Parts: sequence; structure tokens; C-alpha cells
Amino acid sequence: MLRLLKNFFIILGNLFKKPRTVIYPREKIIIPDSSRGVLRLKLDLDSLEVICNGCGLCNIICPQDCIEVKKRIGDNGREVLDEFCLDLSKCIFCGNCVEFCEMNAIDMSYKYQLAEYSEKNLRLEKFELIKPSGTIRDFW
Amino acid sequence: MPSLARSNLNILVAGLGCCKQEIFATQGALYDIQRFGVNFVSTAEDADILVIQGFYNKKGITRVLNIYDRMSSPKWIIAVGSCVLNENLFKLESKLLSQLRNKVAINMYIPGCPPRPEAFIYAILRFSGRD
Amino acid sequence: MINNIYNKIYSPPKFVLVEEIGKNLEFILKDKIKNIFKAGQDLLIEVSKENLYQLLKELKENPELKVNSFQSVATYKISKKNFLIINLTSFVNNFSVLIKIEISGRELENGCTEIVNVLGEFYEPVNFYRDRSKLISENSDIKIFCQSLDGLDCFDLNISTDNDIVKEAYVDIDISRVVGNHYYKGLEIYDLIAYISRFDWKAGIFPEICLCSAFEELLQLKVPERARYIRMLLCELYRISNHVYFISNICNILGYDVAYSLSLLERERVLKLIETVTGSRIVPNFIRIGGVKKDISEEIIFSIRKSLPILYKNIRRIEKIIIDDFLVIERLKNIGIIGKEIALDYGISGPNLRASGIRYDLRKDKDFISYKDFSFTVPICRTGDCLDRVLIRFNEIFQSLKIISQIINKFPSGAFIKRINLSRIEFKSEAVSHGIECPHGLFKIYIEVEKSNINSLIVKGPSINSLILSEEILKENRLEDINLILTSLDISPGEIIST
Repeated sequence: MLRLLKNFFIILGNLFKKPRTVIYPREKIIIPDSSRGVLRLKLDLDSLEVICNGCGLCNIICPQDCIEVKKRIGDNGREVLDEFCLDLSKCIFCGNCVEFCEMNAIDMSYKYQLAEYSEKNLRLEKFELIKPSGTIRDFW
Repeated sequence: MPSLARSNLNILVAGLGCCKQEIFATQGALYDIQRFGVNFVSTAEDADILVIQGFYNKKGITRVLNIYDRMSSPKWIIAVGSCVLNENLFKLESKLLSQLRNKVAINMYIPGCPPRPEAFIYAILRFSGRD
Repeated sequence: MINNIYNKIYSPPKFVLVEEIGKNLEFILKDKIKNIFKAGQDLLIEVSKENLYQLLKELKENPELKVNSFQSVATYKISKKNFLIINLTSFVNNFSVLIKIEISGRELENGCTEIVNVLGEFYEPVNFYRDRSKLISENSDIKIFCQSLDGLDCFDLNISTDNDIVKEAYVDIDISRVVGNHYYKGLEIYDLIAYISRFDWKAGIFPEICLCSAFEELLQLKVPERARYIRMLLCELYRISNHVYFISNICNILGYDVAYSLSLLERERVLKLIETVTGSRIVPNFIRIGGVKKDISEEIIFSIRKSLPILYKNIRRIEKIIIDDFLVIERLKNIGIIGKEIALDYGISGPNLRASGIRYDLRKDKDFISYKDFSFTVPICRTGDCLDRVLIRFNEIFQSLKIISQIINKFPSGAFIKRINLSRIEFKSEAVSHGIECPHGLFKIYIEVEKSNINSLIVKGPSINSLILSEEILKENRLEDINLILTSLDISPGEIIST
């Protein structure tokens, strides 16, 4: 009898609690700061240009060879980034490229909603990698 | 996608990679994929969607093709993880997977190694036209 | 008084000098051994094919050595020379032996039948490594494909039955041979660290720690104290997440939906703590040679401290739900019993070994990271059936929570990594083997290096031994219990891939 009463009060307490399920498409689960998502190219805040100078170290470091970098000589004789291509179908999100970058020019974003109908869309170009850096947590 | 299949999707998961535990984590109370009428089954005749993930050798590929033949007619395939999208992570017979991709048509690709459980739910929602 | 009672229940660990055993062996078998030396924690003996029989006889029948449990066999190739490595362990005397034999290329294609025949006279589980396709097709009448049941993740099962009682059982792991022969050649060390956590994907930090500490032993490097504490913190968090996942699998098979969803919720809570530290849920890529990748901030320690009492309360509640229900107890009791003798013969380790009454844990028995700073007990059970294997995992979770609270309370300050230049390293030609205590048992890595490239890398997980043992304990059981017994052994598919 005592056990029945005890169970009754446990259930009564649970009635007024918030449910544990996150209603996914409307609410988002908050992801910790250091979590690893898709690469993004950082922008210099003053001139709004890409910091990366196209040295190609990340291409050598990457265990799956998923990054392609090309550089060209700019107007004032300095080396400027020409093309930056990320193949998402090869990437394993290990984060070695961020660790080894000498310029601190790339970063891991929080973007994880990645599902595509065709394989061609998994290849991300330079302007798509810059886009998420404008806002930090809105682009989920 | 026909509306009858959309409200009652049966999913069969094949393969032995690390993506498997992340896919089955969506059954838990935090994500609760059963809200969308999605069930995980273990017989090929009941399944609508086949999920392929993880490592395969020659024997494994023939098993997967056998399962795909036994599924009844409106049927789709989702490929999960970089082992299937690109090549085997540990470099064994990497041409096998391109053979698989030539024989069957893959409808949806989910990149990641392994992808998060939310990414799998997003793919299912987008596939059934409810995003 | 209390110490006396404690010592009767838990006998104190034996510390053995491996060099002394090596000298004794060299004295007994003088001209029959080519070379003998200490490689890391183990004793490595090079011997020719003809003298293998006498060495094995000495090792098994000498009462001072008592090497009676068989671990694994592996082959590798260095510049047109083929080698075979046999790993044997003595749990009673707390040391292990590696035997290295040179073989010709033709023997490797035939499956080394001569050596396997010699080994089979002393150790029974070697029969698993023979070519058994003819035996299986003659003796079995039912074939269960992998993934048609919940417990069979990565292997096929052939059984022969009498009504509904299993008479013979054979395991076939052809489908999980998916790793290329020399995948590690031409890879840099940081690439290898990024890949290797797939070899135990239920708890991904343990292969990384094993590989990095093997390289640290080669370089004679001492890790800073703060880095060691961070490693131990991650080890215990992953151990909790693996054991909670095991409990949820058992509840799923029993059809116990309440406990299933409650335990998955607790697993998500632990995985979130892991993600705040490392940045990924399953494949951390966090350990570096000489330390760890990033430092832990005060906020993370605060959030771990806040969630410890909640975890303790909730897991106690799940344990109470399961134990209070007599139907669950009746289902789990007296099924799949592993005796003491058979457990030692087949060389299983970890919680499965402790459930049958033998206290062996590397955290206490050897100097593994720096666990001797903390006070904790190693739980053991008596009978070794499915219920014991569930209960011992609950006890290990509570011990891990106790260790974590001690780690947080005395977290040392200082550097978190000792940086070294990896690009200009040159090794002498050396061999090293290193073992750690992972949630399934004894995880081992054997490396041979020369100058700046890795000649051989052999990874051996503990799950393959419990898989070989499952052929024995499935006999005389009902057909519907196969699922439960295989799940209660906690077989990780990633470890079976690597053998």
C-alpha cells in the first residue's frame, strides 16, 4: 500500500515537469562551443577580405585529400587566394587543418544539417564557405 | 513520394560501421524519431528505405544487393558516412563501392564521419517533403 | 583487522620483474632461443620453427611461469620477410609473452598449418584460426546471417540443433575482414591518430591513448601531470557511456521500454560532456604525443561537477527499476554461465572475466597512467551468468563516478602538452608493445619502427576472445537465448574488424 502511494506521488510530480524531448525542426538542440562542423574561411574584420593567402598547407596535412587550393599574384605583388574547394563527401571532420594552419585563417563552424539529393551539391566553392561567417548561430 | 508511404516509413539499416549507433540514437527520448511515423524494421520485405553505411568487402556488397532485390516495389536508398560516399577508410578494394553506385540509384547523401543524429532526422524530413 | 579481512577477499596484486623471468628462461633453454629481450611491458622471444614445441611445453608446464591463456595470432611483412606473432598471457602471475617466428611465403598462403598444429596441442581456442569451411558445412543445419538478430552485429552463426536445444555452434567472421593489409604504410603519425579511433567505436578514446603512450615509451617521454589527469577524466567518461549503452541494449532485447529510453537519456548527457571537452561525440581525435590537444577551462570542470550528482541519482534509479522486477531477474539468471577454468583458458578479460570471479584489472595491477593516486575498488562477482555481467557493469559505473569526483577535486595546474618536433624524429630499430584497460578488456598495440617509418602495427582488441568463447557457452542453451547471451558479452564490431 505504501509503495503504491509512493509511485502515485512520483507520477504526480512528473506531470508538471517539462518533457525531455526536443521538438526538433522548431526547437534546436544547443551544441557546445568546441564542436566540429563544416569548415569556414575567416574574414578580416577591417577590410572584409579573406585572411587565407593560399599557401596550401591544409592540402598537404589532410588525411583524405579533400581540400583543393589555388593561388595567384594580386595587384600589389602579394599572393592572394584564387580558388578554395571543399569536397564534403571525403571529409571526416578531424580538425587537423585548423590545428596546423599558420595564418589562423580557417575555423570549424556549427553547421551540421547536411543532406543532399545529388553528389554534385556536396562540392562547396569559395563563396559558399565564406557565407556562414556573417552570423554565428542563426544559420542552423 | 506517395502519401501512404510518407506517413509510415519503415527503415532497414545495413552495414557494420560507427554510423550505426548514431542512427539508432534517434530512437531515444531526446530525439524521438517515432513522432514522424518512422519505424526501424529487420526484415527486407517490410522495408521502404534501405540505409547503407560502414565498411564493405566483396561478400558484403552481394548481401546488400540481395537485400535490395527482396524489397517490395516503391523503394529508396540513403547513403550515410564518408566510407560509402568516397571509399573504404582502410583502403581495401575501393572500386567495389563505385560498382554498387552504378547498379542501384542512391536517392540521398548524408556526409559526415559519423554524422550527428539531427542530420539523419533532417534527411528523413527533407526526403518526405516536410522540412 | 580490517586489512586482514580485505586481503582475504581481494588478494593484493603481484608485481613481477619481466627481466628476471627472461634470464631464467635463457638459462633453461640455452641454445634453442635466438634472442630474448623486454619490449615495452612484455617479454619478446625470437625462436625458430623447430624449437617452438619445447618452448611452449616449458612455458605451460613450469609452475613458476604458468602461461595458460591464449590471446591472439597475427602475421605481418617487412621487406619480403614474413613474420608471425603469438601472444600468450598468465593472469595468475601477471605478465605476458610475445613469440616471434620467421616463416616463408609459401607457408603464409597455406595458413601456417604446422605452427597451428603445434599450438593446438597446448591451447584449445587456436582451432578458430584453422580453415573450417568443410567442418561447418557438414555439421551445421541452420545458418543465421549477421544483423538478422540484435546481438549478431558483425558475424554469421552456424548452429546444429536437437528440437530447440543448441548442440554445436560455429562463428564465421568472413564478412568483417575489411581492413587492407598494409594500410599504415605511407601515413604520417597525425593521420594515424585521426583514423585509429574507428577500431573501437563504442569508446573511441582508448585506441588513441594506447597508440600515443606506445610512442611515448619509444621516445622515453614523460607526460605532464595535468595532461595525465585530463586523459584519465576522458577514460572514465567514455567508460560510463559504453556501459550505459550496454544496459540499454540489454533492455531493448528484454522488451523493457521504460529502462531503455531512460538509459539512452543518460548516455546523451554523458556524450554532451565529452563533446564539450573534445569537440566530437564518438571520434575524439584529442590525444597527441606528449599530452593532449587542448586545455580544459574552469567552466567545463564546473559543468561536469554539476552533472555528477544528477548522473548518480538517475543511474541508481535505473538499477532499482531493473533489480526490483523479478521477471527480469528470472530471465537473466543461470543463462550462459562461464566457469573460472574456461575463462582463463580462452583468455577473455575485462568485466566478463571479473564476473566469473577473477580479480584482474590493469588499473590496479600495472602502472597505467596514474590511477594509484585515487582510492577505488574493483568489483567482482561469483557465478558468471548474464545477471552478474549486468550487475558488475552497474558497479563499475559507480566506481568511475567516484574516480571522476576525485580527479576534479585535485586538478593540478601546469602545462597540458610537451611539444616535440615530430617531423625530424629518427628511431633506432626497436619493438614495443603496450596494453591498456578498455571497457571491454585488455586492448593491445604492437609496433616495430625503423628510422622514421613504421614497419608493422598490430592492433588487438579483447572482443575476439569473447567471440571465440561464445562457441562454447552457446551449447546446451535454448534457441531464443542466443540473442541475450551474445549481447551480454558486449562484443564491439570495431575490434573484430582489426583482427
